Amino acid sequence: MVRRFRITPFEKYDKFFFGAIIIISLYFLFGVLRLYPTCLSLYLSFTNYRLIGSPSIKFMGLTNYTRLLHDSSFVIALKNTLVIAGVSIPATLLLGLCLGLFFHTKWRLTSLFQSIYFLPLIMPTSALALIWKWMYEPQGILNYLLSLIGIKPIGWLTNPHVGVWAVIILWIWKYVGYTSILFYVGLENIPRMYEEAAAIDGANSWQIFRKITFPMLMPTTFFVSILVTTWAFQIFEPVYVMTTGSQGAFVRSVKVLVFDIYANYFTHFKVGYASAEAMFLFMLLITLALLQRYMMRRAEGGWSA
Amino acid sequence: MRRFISFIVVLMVFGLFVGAGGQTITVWIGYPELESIYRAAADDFEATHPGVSVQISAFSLRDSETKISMALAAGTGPDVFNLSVTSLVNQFREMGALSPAPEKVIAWVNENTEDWVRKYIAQELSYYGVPGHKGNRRLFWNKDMFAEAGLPGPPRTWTELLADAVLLAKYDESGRLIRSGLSLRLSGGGGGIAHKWYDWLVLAGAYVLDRVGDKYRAGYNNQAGFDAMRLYLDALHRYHVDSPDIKHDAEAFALGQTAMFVRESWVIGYMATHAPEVNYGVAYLPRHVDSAEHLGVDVLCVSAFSPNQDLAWEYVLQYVQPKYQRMMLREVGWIPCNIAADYSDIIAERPQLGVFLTSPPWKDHKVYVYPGIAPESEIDARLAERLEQAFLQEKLAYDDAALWQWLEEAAAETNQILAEYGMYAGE
Repeated sequence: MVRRFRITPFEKYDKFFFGAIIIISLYFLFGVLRLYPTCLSLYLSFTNYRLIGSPSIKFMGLTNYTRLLHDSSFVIALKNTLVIAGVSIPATLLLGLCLGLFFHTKWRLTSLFQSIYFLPLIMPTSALALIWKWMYEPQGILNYLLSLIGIKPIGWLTNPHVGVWAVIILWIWKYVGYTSILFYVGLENIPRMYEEAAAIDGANSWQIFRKITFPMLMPTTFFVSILVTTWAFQIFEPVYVMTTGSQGAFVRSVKVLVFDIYANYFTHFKVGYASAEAMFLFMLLITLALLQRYMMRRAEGGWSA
Repeated sequence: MRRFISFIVVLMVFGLFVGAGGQTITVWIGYPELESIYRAAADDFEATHPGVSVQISAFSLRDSETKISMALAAGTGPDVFNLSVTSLVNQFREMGALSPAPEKVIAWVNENTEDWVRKYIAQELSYYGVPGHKGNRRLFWNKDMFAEAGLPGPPRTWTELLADAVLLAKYDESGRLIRSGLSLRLSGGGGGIAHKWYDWLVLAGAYVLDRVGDKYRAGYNNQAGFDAMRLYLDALHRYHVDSPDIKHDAEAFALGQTAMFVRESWVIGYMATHAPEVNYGVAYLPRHVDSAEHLGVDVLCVSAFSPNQDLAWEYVLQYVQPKYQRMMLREVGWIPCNIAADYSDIIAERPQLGVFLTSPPWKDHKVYVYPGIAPESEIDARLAERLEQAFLQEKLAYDDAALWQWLEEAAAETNQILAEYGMYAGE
């Protein structure tokens, strides 16, 4: 006998209400934790507000933004950030892709290497920076290893021309494992039949990679590039840790935008000015993300033509 | 589900009652090495104040003042805290975040501290803090290295300083410096580089800021600033007695990688722990134009948001008593501001401390203390970054015009910062 169930109005709409509660909660959290602070920061960026010693908030228009352009500290921080991003982003993507391809070959010890390369990502960045700071010391282990192959000691943190490279090396080392895993997953999701068909048609490995694999990896590449770009422009902990103490790195050689924002906000209490700097970084990242999306779409269009 | 929620509510209500009852004084300090001293004072305080518990939290100095600033700006934070950047005291006072010292605390300051400390607390900080310890600096010198180089004792002038450093520095076969003759502060974040440079600037006869009424202007774009810069540049580029590629500071001194360096008295406690075998002495900084020193005072403050302000002030008074100040001097090495206590037995045990507890014997000895003005940290941090870069420019060691230009540009930035705060006195 088939039992007939009567559906009450509540049961009819319970999935809708459940979904609505979840979505409203998420939007509420997004609003409180993301939207409100961003809008407040935007507002404060047009004011002279100081965290301490500011009896009233005065609207200053674009004064904070124009001051940024004449602030040597901001200019240096921007330059260092662009150098770090300009080197670490392509390096992380390229190395990550190479490692991902290596993992894709399903070599016997692939899982072990995946774990090893993924380890830096799960370690706290501050702890990593401390370890690297120790390794970068004049008589640290890096210079010792270099001396074994006849290379003179390098002032990793004490040479102002090398300091930024010390940060770049750490940054690439931290994230290359994660990008390799993402690329590996992307490669695994490409149906093998396309590559097999191309091989049957006489394409070599490079042709298969260029014409089949890489175009199909575009969505993954876009996602990974957005991630590494955001991380690179938001770098902070290594710079903070490496400049701490009487034997820290030369500040001007490694100072980055977030570090400058931190100093302006938490040390000098110039909230309005720091907010303007933060807004600049925000707009820079949005512009880069849109640019990347445009370039990816063009590349996808070219490949699919 | 209903039972689970009821259980959680009961637990929360229970927790409220468990937390209630008894008073708690929270203390945040920026000197982890002093935590045991604060704890000792807290234990005795709790014993004499039943129902009161004192919680001590120690952070690094840089982080501590950031946390305190954020907490006070939000109207929360600890009951008691220490500040080494005294401009913060005035800024917190202006925003109503500090509790004014009661009469008995003011009386203690007036009766138990030396003249310049008393004046500073009264005139610069309006008694909104109690001096805990002071940060005066002296020259640490390795006696064995000096004897090896045939030098009779520590240098008394800048000329002797550089000459001695040349004899004390050591190099390997390739000419790379492996032991600095004089370890200078060349790198690191914050305003530390600037503070150490001020030690030499005051000996050259000037200070970072010139006061004109209630306003200021940069005070180092002159011969004194030139001489102080030339000292560093000559040490690095003409005489090669120091280098960024070698270890610095107390660690280098403990490892025997430098013959001389300038630091506060905490190094004595550090050396006793890490390198008790090093045979070293402490001397006054060598004179140049003047005999002078640039001093800092660490102050203890009570928050205006504290629900237990009277108790908090009592704890502060407890901490500055001779018992704990002697403990601080003996175990850590920071110099107490309480001059009423007897430290002779500690000095007998560690004679190096005696040099910190006395001023140089010259009649014209001057003391400079940073005015408690809001732009202090920004001026120091910006100047520190400029100094850091300038020290590495060999050209400045040989090109007087370039060095003068550097001084003018740095001073212009200092004046611009003062102007932003409405404190610039003009040319």
